[in-house]
Amino acid sequence: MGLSNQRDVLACKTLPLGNEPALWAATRRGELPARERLIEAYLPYARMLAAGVFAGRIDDDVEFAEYLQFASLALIEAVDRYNPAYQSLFTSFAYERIKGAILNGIAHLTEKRTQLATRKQLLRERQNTLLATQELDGKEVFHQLAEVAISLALGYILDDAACHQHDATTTLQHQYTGLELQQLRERMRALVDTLPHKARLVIKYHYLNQLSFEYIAEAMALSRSRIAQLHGQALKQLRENAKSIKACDVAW
Amino acid sequence: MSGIDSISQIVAALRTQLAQGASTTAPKPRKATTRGASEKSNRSISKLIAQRVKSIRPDDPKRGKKVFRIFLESVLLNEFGEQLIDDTVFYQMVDEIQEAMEADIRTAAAINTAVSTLLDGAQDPR
Repeated sequence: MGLSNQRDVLACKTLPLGNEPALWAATRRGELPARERLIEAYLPYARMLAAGVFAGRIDDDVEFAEYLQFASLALIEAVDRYNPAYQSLFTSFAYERIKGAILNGIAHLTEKRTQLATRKQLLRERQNTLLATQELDGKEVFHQLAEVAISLALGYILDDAACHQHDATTTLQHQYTGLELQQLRERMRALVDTLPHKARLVIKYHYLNQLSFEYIAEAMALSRSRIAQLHGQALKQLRENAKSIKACDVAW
Repeated sequence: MSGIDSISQIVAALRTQLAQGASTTAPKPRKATTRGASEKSNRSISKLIAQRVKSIRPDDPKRGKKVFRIFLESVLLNEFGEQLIDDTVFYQMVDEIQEAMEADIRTAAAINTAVSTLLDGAQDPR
């Protein structure tokens, strides 16, 4: 155990530990002050490893603070798991764990960012399809625009609520202020089951499983244009069904 | 539901309010998506249109965009229910819809036509 090589010494020189074996022993006994002192002492080590991985990054998608957070969490976990009776050096024990945690964490973040990009593509595809299939010609302009807006709104309402809420602040805000729209969403989703089989499948694939029209076409062995057509018909049918219910239910 | 039950009636209400607004002093502008305490109790689409239109200055460079926003909100509240009027997520939805419609060339042209029709119908006090 201890800080044996030059890199480790440099990493932890600002926070001397004193009797390190005694601190590890106390930590193993569950003494929190000793544990906290060890964590504090080795945090610069975690920072150094985070900086090393950050320096080797291939893009700037993720900020250093996030690298550091992963490293720090991994360090704490390493302190809790380290047993000086079996491992010679804490830094050796912690090194791969911290680096692995950073890389895994960043990969996960990147994956989430990719998912967000995928989601944007999905929304764009839906909007383009809806806009392209709207019959703008032959209708009075205000009615044309209203039809387009209502179709887009139906898509928004049917969509997975979680997909509209990407950050914690927004999510928290929506928990308190999105009740009316959430209730509308639940009513509309219940109406999905009243749709004909193929239309229902398209809606469920697209809105509940977030599949693009291309994937849905493949899954249903239909053309992409047919899927777009079914999608448009399904939204129209949902709107009509909702109106029918609304006409019979003053509480709608 | 309000007395306004069709797109034509929404457009008529917008025309009326724009015409009235053009002949009176414009009030202090405010964001179209924010609502005061008195407005919370106001669940009528026609009143919403009146209040929104009054909040737009005649010389506002974004007047057309704001008028279209009022049209969108009114159409969607009419379609999905006035209970959404107090739901901030509703206004986020309208943001996304307006953005998508304005980004589409063909739809944007229709929006311009519609807005021009509305604004040309209102008398300019200047």
